[in-house]
Amino acid sequence: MPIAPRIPGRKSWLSLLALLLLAAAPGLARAAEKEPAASEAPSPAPALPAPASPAPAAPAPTTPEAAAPAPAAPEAAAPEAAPVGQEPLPKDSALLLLGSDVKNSSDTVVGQVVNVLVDGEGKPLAVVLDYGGFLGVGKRRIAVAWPMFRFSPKGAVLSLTRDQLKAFPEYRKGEDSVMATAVEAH
Amino acid sequence: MTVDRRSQRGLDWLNFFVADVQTGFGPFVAVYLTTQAWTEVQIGFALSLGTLTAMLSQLPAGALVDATRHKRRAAMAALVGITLSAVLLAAWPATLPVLLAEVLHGFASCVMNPSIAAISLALVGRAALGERLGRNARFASLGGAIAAGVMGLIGTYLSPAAVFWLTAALAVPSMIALLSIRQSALRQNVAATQAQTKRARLKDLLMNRGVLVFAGCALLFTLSNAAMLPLAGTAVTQAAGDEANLIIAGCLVVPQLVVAGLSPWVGRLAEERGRRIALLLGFSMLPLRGVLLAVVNDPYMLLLVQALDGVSAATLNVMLPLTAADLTRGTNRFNLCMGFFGLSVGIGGTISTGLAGAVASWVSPSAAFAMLGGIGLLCVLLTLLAMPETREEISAEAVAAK
Repeated sequence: MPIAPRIPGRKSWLSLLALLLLAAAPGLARAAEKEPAASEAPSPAPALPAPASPAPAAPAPTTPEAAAPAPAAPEAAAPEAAPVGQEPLPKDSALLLLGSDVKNSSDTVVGQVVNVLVDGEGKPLAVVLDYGGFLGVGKRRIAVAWPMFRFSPKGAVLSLTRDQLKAFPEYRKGEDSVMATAVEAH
Repeated sequence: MTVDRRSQRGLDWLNFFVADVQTGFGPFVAVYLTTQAWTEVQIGFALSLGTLTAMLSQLPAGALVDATRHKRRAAMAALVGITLSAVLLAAWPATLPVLLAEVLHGFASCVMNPSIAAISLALVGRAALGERLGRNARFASLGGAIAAGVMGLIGTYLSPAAVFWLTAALAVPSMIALLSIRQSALRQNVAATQAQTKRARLKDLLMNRGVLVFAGCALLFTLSNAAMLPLAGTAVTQAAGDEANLIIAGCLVVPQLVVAGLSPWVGRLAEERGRRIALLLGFSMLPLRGVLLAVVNDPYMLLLVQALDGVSAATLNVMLPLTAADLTRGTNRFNLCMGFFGLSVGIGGTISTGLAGAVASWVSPSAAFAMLGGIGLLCVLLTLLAMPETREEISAEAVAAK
């Protein structure tokens, strides 16, 4: 009978029904949203420049190919929409950050990237991590300042140690929090 | 009754490997989905869907296992379901497959659990059930302990996805173990149970005082118990630095080893000295742990206190199926009763983490531990004041008195 006590061990912050009622709508919405995001990643066909055939011919409201639907809504009426450029993005040149494992300097996985916080200009401020724990038990959510990481296409490496972060306060969404950073020497 | 050695061994290893597989489905699913760039809302939704499915399926799954003559086949179907959901999670972590995997796992677990109990009962009969259940719990906890250690290391040094591939792979030895239990060893007992003329329905079950009281105890038990480990784990990560993960691993593994050592003894105690003694002894660890966790801060002391978890877990793991068997003597409603208790356990556990998490963040972790201990005390009191002794001779008197 080892199963039953383990099922409730899962992390559920609200009582089940309340959570389900709350989560059902946005959860499904996000779920639908996730599909395009996933299929977006493997698009290794950037080599052909788009303006090859139809682009200069007709800069009409019908945008070339099915490139970017983003600016379509506000500028649908304007006939002078600029064609969208395409820049190659080789697969090893960038790191898909969200969800990636964070390692420490000795190459051990210490956490996962949950989110990235940016300031008003879009510059990254901090990485929100699920930090530490063993098999999901004892992990904590903390924010660590952007400069504390070394990034490479293989992943992010955190320069702070467990000892340095052990009593660090948790990050809470929508509340004043703190992010871990290096102590500045004056 | 001849004791079929090979079938007993098969049942041992079935418990062992099923516990391995289920370890992968624990809190680690959240970590795994995080690495697949799932948001918190999506993860919460998927896990809640799994929990909800598990709760809704407890009673139907129990009734299903009661109804079938082929307990082994039911267990096999459940294993296939669990394997499929592990493969889905490992190979295809997109939205729909994961939701499907969670639903599948929720339902299959609800069949698996009573199926193992039903096979145990059919294999050894009522007289030796306590000892057999002790053996089940021993092998299950050994499996859980080893799996937690190995999977934790793989998650730390390799990748979270690898943990899920291992989970899926471990379903294979589970099936081999199941197949080595002889159907012929079960047939006679199953037929005898199914021939019981008294066809108690769910309503009769719910009118039974023992069933209701024990369901209450089981609910209070997990309400008190489920949040203690995660809360203690957080306390450890805040108090300890580099060695924190090792201590948390200890908090997962040590109680399992205690269960392995203790559960056969719990089974014997229940057979020889009565169920109430065994229940009271095991449940009384809950308030003790709550108080100790509230006052202890040193990480290694926390580990010692967590070891007490093993005592209460051994008690619940052995006594829940045993009590269900006691209370459904002379009927074919053993697994329905197991399902009902499983439902109570599920409800308690679901509320527990949310409740304790809220108290810990709004008041303090110590207050949360104290509250959990208080709920544990209620569980002990309910057992002491209301739970009837369900061992054979006394319940025979109760039947005569009706």
